[in-house]
Amino acid sequence: MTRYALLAILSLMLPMPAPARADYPFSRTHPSTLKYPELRFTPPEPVERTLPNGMTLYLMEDRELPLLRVEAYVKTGSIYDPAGKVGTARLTATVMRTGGSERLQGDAIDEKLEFVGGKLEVSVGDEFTTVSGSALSKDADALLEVLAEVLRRPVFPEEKLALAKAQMMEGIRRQNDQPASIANRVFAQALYGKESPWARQPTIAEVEKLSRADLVGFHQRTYAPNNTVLAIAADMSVDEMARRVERWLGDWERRTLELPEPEPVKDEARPEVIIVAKETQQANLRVGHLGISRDNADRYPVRVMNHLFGLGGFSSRLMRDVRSSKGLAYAVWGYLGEGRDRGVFEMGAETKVASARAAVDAMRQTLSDLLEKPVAPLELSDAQSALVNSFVARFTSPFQIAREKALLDVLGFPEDYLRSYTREIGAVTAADVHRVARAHLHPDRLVIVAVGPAKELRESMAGLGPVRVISPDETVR
Amino acid sequence: MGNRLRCPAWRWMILVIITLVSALPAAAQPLEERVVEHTLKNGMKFLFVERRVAPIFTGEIVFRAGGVDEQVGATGLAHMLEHMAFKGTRAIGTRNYRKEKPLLDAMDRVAKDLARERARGSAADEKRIEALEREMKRLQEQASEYSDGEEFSAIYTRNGGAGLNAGTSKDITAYHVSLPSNRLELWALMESQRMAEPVLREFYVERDVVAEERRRTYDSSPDRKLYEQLVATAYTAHPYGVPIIGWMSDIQSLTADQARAFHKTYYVPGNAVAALVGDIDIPQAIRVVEKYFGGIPAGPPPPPVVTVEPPQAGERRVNVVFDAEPQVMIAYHKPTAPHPDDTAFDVLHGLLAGGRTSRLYTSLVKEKRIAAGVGGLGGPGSRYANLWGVQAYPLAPHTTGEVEQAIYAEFERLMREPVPERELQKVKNQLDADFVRGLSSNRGLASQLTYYEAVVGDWRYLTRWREMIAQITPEDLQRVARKYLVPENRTVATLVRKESAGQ
Repeated sequence: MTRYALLAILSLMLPMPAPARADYPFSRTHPSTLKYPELRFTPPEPVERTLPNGMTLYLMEDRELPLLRVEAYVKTGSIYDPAGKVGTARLTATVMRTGGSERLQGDAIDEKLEFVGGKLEVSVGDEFTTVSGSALSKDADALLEVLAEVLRRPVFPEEKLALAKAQMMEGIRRQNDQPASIANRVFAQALYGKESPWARQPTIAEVEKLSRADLVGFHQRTYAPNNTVLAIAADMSVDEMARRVERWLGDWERRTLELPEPEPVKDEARPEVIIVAKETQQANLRVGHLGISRDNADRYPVRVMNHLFGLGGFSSRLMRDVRSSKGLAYAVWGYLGEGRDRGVFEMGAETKVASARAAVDAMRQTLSDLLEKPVAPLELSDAQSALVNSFVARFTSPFQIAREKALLDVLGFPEDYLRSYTREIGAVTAADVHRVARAHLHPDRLVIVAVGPAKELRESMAGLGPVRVISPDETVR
Repeated sequence: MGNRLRCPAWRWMILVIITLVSALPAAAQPLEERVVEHTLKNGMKFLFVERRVAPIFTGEIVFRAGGVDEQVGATGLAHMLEHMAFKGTRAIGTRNYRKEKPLLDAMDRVAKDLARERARGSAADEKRIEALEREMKRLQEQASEYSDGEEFSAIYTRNGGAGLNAGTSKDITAYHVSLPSNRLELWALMESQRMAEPVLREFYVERDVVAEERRRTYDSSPDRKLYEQLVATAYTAHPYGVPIIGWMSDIQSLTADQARAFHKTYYVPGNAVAALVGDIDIPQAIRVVEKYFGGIPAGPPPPPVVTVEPPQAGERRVNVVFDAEPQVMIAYHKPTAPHPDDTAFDVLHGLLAGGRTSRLYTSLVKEKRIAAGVGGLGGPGSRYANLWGVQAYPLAPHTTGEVEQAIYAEFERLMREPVPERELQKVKNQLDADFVRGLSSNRGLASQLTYYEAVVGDWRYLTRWREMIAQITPEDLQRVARKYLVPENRTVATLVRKESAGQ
């Protein structure tokens, strides 16, 4: 130790050390000394209405800005793609928007909306499809009219279909550009199987063959008011909003739906290491196995466990162990996911190729600590406080409030979920967390996906199980 | 998973700039009447907006300090300091600061010796490097007995902090968090403490984290890599040509001393602006910020950036070889706000690249079908003269060359024919609606107010700018296109796939 270090110690040991910047008076004040006034918060609830045709509305008045925001969630998505026609759901929704209806064709919709600064976009997920729009409230009817035409009367013109197919195929051509997207795709296929509705991906050859009839059929089978939930907020009364929605969507006729439930997920993944060869500076890592179902009884302990394990920002264990104390990665995360059938348990990190093994070992160690040692009381209470105190952040705008409730409805959460959330989180014990970790996390069943230079990764991953090397163009299982 | 990343706000700097620029005041509620300003004696400015939607507020502090303020050899310092500002203070993040401090100092000395030795290249003494690395490791292990670099974040998280994050750009560094409304005092204590006296603990581990961030965000992404080269080619003298995160070799040589010096120079109250937006009582909030920030000593104003980019004297082209499908970026030098031509470019951007009816989308994607996507790009910052341009992804088998020509054809049309009034009105209407959307969240409002205050010098530029936009004429657009969108003023970067992208 040198002279300077010694001086530093001395100056700090003087009886009343003069702080370096005497005028900032809070140098030694720890936030734990602060007291907070009590915050009473009852989550506001949107008004719920059900139209005679079966469509559910969640409405909120928002007088702050002259803006209308709306999202329609249709319970259709890529899990309903017919076998051999993967991509149907996505293409259907895309061309509904770009093609428009007989009366309001796609290009006319673009012109009409963009002239008033309005927006309407579609996005397709596994289980549901979202049509989201916003416009100034003076243009409320124009926006709702377009929304209704797109949902109810799409004509799927061949020209727009051809354009959408070309763009989708270009997307497939570009799907190996980013290592992270390769890692996500291969990991999902390794866990679910490449033919599973929860992991399969369209190919260029398949998309090429999709026809207008496929889209028309898909729309007829899966789009209906009795399959749609709508969230809306605007600076008008709830009654006025409901009246306008009804004007455009009230006479959309109820339909019998064809939504065949996908085959139950088969848990057939075996522990192994899959290396996807790509010349990158970083290894993109995914480690895990299949997760749990959304309607499991362990919902709240799992929330708490996820927070302290790998979803709780900078203070989560994975962040501390892999990033902050070892400097192995910028991005590192982990969680046990819930799915309609099965979610995934996933740990992920991106690290320089030379430290790929060190990162995998660190993640496995963090996992094994979670299973072996009880959660300390302070860590538990910190996680609970974080979840309870940040609960208000879900309700920062009226539209967000309507949206939150609508999404919980679409995903089938219990009606009192939000009302009981903070109480349930507060009731979780350390033993609960330990129990759910041991019940649902299995270190002996980990599948490891590593995207990066094959030669180096093959060597460094030795001893973690059977190793396979594939190219980004190949699929697994 | 946004908040596991420390600078996602700037991950898409290209797009972010455009979003910020396309902000117009609401017709309904004049913004001027909702913003309360308060400047402390030490020069730090606060902006308050009350929004009682939910019992929550967003706090945002912006320093007018970014990548542009760095020196050669120490690029990435502003961003590195941003990471370090989460590592605590004397009171937060330590079990015993008295014992921790000498170890932190010793690490700095070892880091400097290491950098000096490594810089000797092939003449370096490998044995000495190894010994120094061992010494560093030993010191880090010792210090870890006292340091808890995540306590600062943990306190926020435990108290319900949402969206805890920060971002560094070429122009500014911004820190933000949303908290339940009864935690205002917590925010003021935490933020004033790290502003006044941050302790740069765990610096050399965090430096490795930042190196990983560079590998991940810049070196693994075709778009970011191409943008980095576009900008580096477009600027020859001005520091805007350097990537925000810094060059890898610089990152790996940064020291805590350098970061402390940067902090001392740029994190002074007169160079900072903060916004509190949400469920706050403004008179009470003023008392709280006076109490906590008022004692931070004023400092001299930071030095200006004196370098001016010389006029470009001819087209510049650069190829980037990457294991990805082709794309192209084209950029032109232009003045920055509050120059009126900057405003004309905002309209031009909407006209050419804003939405499905924009000219480039219509021509390249809908009609010619030679591109899968096309968008406008801007950057690298807005404090100094900057760039506007276009990014496009060709639709196979079409080439970047074809796409480029189609883009130039649209520019030429703009130079030739005045823009029809209705089309111009459409763009203005879009900007108006976008502005209203931007006001609809605490976070959005806080970041816009602080951004304009820090970058243009007055948050009211938001409103002034609306008047400027309203006055833009078809002739303005024609003049600006003719003046700036010319070959001599352009830089073109093309992504080319590696010939043998084997395994």
